[in-house]
Amino acid sequence: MLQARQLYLQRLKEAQATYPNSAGYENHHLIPMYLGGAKDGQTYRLPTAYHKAITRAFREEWQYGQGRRPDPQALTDILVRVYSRYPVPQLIGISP
Amino acid sequence: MRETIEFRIAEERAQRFLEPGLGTLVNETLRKVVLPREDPRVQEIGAIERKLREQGSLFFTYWNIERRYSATELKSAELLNLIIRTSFEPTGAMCGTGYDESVACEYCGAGARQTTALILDTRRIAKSKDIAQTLAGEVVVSSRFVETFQKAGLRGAEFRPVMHGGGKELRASDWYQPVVTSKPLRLAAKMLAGNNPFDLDERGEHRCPKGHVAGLNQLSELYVERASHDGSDLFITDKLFGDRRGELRPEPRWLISPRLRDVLTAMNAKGHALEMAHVV
Repeated sequence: MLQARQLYLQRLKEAQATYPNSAGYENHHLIPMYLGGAKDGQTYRLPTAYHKAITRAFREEWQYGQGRRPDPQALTDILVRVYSRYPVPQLIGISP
Repeated sequence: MRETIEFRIAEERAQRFLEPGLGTLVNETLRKVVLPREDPRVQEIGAIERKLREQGSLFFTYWNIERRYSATELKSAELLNLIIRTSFEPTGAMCGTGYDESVACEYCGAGARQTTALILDTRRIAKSKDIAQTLAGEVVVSSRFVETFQKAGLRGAEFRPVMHGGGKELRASDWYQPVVTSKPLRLAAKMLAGNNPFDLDERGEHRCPKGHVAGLNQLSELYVERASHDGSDLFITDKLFGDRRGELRPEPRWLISPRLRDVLTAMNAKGHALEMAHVV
């Protein structure tokens, strides 16, 4: 847990440096809609810069809008990989 | 035709199974490998994938097949697969478009009937494009596309106005929804569909038992039956690809005639790519 918290703070700092004009917060779908997440699915309020970094990480794993879909096992793998790099702060006891 | 296949592989798995230096890093944990389809390493990757899947894991997550054609090949095609490259959200349903889900297939979710005009936040559609689709597969074309299609006397679709629903009131937009009036083209048996290039879904997990969905993904070029070709210029396939998952829905593939290809080329239409389709 401590490692995950440190990772979040490090990733947040990197994201804020990459997207310096991204103030405020945005809602993030735990399963992005382009990967089949429901519009009313679980969301988390994240700092905008961090949300942008997570979005980029997902699109590196599976490109947006390609007319192809990952099978359920591949989708699970993508989710695990992205969230192990970019923890959701609320899930590790941090208020964003 | 030159076919290449791209894989994205977790770096720790790539280091374990692939030769050093193959591919490039997308980020510190992800490697991208692009190979010609006939490269023996493609089959090696397939063998690793199958082995790891048997063990409950996997090798690659992302894959993509790119097909490049010579001008002569594209010129000689009887029909072309119109691949829509521009996607956007929110979907129609999220903007207020009505769907009757009660008529959708209980197995695959295909066939929900649209009960209203297509309502979208049209500000989310790239202005530079002539064809685009929502994440739910709702296709829209520009007014320029419609004018050119109609002026050329092409057949196979009607165009219904898309309403902009991004504000307080609905208003007309510059976009149209093509409603295909041609006979659907029947997919031929040679057509390959499946979960990924090495998994043709032999268990049929993503094939609709009622025959609406051919599989999760299109794997080969399109093959359609000649007997189903009614001579129009714009078509969709009879079977769909994908699944009902959140906002995603199973989607048909779009095909165009060489006449429509020439029209799109002349107008320098944006937002799509073309692949050869085979009429057999």
